[in-house]
Amino acid sequence: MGTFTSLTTAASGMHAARAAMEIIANNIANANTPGFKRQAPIFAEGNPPTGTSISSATAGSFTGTGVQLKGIRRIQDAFLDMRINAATQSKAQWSIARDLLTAVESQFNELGDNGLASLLDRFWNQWRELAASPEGLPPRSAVVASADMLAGRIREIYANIRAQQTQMNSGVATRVDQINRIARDIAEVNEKIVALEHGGYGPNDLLNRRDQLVEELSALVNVSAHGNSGSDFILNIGGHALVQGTFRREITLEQDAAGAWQPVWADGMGRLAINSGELRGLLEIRDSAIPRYLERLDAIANALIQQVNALHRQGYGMSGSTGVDFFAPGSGAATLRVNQQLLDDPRLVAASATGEPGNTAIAQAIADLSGALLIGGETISQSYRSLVTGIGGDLALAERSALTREFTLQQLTRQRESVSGVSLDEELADMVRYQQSFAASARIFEATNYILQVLLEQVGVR
Amino acid sequence: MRVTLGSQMDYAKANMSASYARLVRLQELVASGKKVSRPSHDPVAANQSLYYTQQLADIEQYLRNAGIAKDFMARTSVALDEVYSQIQSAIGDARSSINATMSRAAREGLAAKLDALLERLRDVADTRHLGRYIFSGHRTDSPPVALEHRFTGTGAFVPQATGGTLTINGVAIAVEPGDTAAALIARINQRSGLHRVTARDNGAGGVELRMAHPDGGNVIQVAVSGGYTLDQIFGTAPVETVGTGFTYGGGDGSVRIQVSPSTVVSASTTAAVVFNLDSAAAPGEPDLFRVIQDLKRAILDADVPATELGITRLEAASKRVLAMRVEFGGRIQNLEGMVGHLEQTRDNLKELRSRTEDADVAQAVVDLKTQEQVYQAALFSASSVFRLTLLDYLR
Repeated sequence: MGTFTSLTTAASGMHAARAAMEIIANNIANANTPGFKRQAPIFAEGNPPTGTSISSATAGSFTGTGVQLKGIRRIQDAFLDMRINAATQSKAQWSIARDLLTAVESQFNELGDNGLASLLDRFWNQWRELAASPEGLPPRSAVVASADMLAGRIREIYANIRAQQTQMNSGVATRVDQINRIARDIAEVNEKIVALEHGGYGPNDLLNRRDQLVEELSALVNVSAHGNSGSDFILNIGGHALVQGTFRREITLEQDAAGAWQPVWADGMGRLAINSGELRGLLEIRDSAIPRYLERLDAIANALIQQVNALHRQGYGMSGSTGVDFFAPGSGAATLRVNQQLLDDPRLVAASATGEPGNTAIAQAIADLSGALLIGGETISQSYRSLVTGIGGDLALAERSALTREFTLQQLTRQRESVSGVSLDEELADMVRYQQSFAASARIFEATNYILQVLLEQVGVR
Repeated sequence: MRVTLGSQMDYAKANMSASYARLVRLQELVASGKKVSRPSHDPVAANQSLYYTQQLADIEQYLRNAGIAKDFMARTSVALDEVYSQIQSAIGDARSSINATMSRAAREGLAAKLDALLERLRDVADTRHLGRYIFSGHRTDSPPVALEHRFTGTGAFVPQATGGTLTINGVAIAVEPGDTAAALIARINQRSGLHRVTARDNGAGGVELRMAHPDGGNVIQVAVSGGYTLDQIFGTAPVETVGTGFTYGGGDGSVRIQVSPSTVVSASTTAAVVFNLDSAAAPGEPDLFRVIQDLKRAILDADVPATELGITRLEAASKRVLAMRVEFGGRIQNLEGMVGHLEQTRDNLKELRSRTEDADVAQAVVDLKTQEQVYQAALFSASSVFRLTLLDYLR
């Protein structure tokens, strides 16, 4: 080894320090970039010298040949990323359930004075009032008015919830579009990764970008990612590959028997197995929770129509009319209406079982329906209360679940931030370190240069 | 654990927003005064609150009904008092007439007084409360004391070979060929919509129609067509007559009003019972109006045994009315007890509901203040930590 070796060694030190400074600059510049993972240089000692040129001063042993930059690594914990994706899925599922149920709950607005519960109370109590003073028109008009309000409110709630259910179809469609778009982006990123890998470069920024796309996708649907490189990367939804290397599969929509749009694989592999993410939340509320609520409203409407009509038809109105339906015959909450004849002429409201004006048996019997166990062992009011508190319970569960999932996600994100995040103080400290390392290498260079000068002066040409 | 600026910022932001959310919730609590303003805040409490609200609405209605029942009973009670005092006054008059020396003029004076008393009693019987006859049972639209109309002829029903149609007050009833009077009577009595016309045998084998109606004049409209004539059904030359006696023109039952989930009070009684119309209260005895009419004749005729019989009957009637009056007093008292109970339950329920859904405002205000301090502390600590950076110490 010659004296010039020191010069190259010092130069490699300066070179490495400069490279490290560049990495630090990039870290600091990207400190606030979403999805960025901090990078660090991988240094290794220089290659040992080859050949027979061994310095006499170091005979019998080798000195090193300086430092070399082996690569730049992303500082990350792949396992943490997986957990974050899983947590994102379940948080997204509960958050959207919470948002959808909040809208449903607001339809009921029960704890105020004009909720459906108080309209029901008023309806029964108007019958009680009619039973106490059965002769006149005013209590009959009051019965009809309260029934009309009740029926209108039930229809309105039913229609609004139905509308929200239909609205969720477009929510499903939007998310399917998003999934397709992100899948396309991931496939494109993979293509670039494959190209760069061939060129021998570590495509850290592309890997960051792909990680971020997978995380975005996790908010929508349950995906699991395997593999690291461009070509062996697989993204699955429920066992079927959405993206595999640069290949991707399209998702489309299909209408089911109930008229709701369900996501299916475009190449005929049937419905997606969706068990998490926003899509899961949407589908669950649309296909399971809301039908349950609507069914209960239907049961309440049917009980009203059938039971009140059965009694009312037996009774006599003020002018001796009988056999008149109180509610228009129908089935389901959407059809609940007061018989138009009664709206036109409240004298038809029947209170008497015999036709005698002081007989109140029918009005009393209808008022007594308020205490009758008509729907699955519950009174109509109880059944409605169970519905409202059931929705409240579902929403409370969704709120709590969303909150805990959010907390978990926060914890995990913080953990990732602690592994991969950029700490400015740390980078500054490193900057000082490499600055000094550069200065030291430069000093060696200077010293070697001086030695060479002395040598040249002694032996050189005068 | 490595702490980066980003995680520090996120952590501080998360803490601040959680702290702020608590602050807003407490503010909502203080402003609304309600612990539960949406069912999801506390589904169990919301269910209870809805239940209490329903119970309260029901109780308010029961209290209204109890008011209606009480008015009705009070009206009945006052009417019974009046009947009682009129009977007492009639008894006094009758007693004073059992005196051989009483002049004819004085007897006529007593008779006139009894006439007025009879009219007064009929007025009391016709008492109306909010347009409803209180002594008419379920038939609250008809005066309870009525005259009995009869429609019949002399002689028997004569069966014919060809059937016909009998129309009573607009309702057609078939008369079969070879019918019997009993079969036709049964058929008429089964029909509804005849405006309370009933049929019976006229004592000679013919059909007799009866109807209670407060007015005189023709109120039973009868027509025949086909194989029968009126004479063949009702006996020769049928006419409508208005009886001199009184009959009950009201309906069965009493005014019944629900005042609690399990209690329906009977708020009225019928004139049939009060005045013994159609011997409803004392079988075999004449009605109160007839008793007074008989008494009047006995006094005019100075017929002492008949007067004494009248006094005995009046005393029996007075006892009955007094018993009814006492019974009504008891019912009103029961009802007042019930109202007291309902009001107490209402107050209880209001308190329960308030405990379920109302916020403890004092506590909430204290919590709000504390939370405000916590929020300020969070802001201050964040601002002081973020100022620290190595940059300040590097040259």
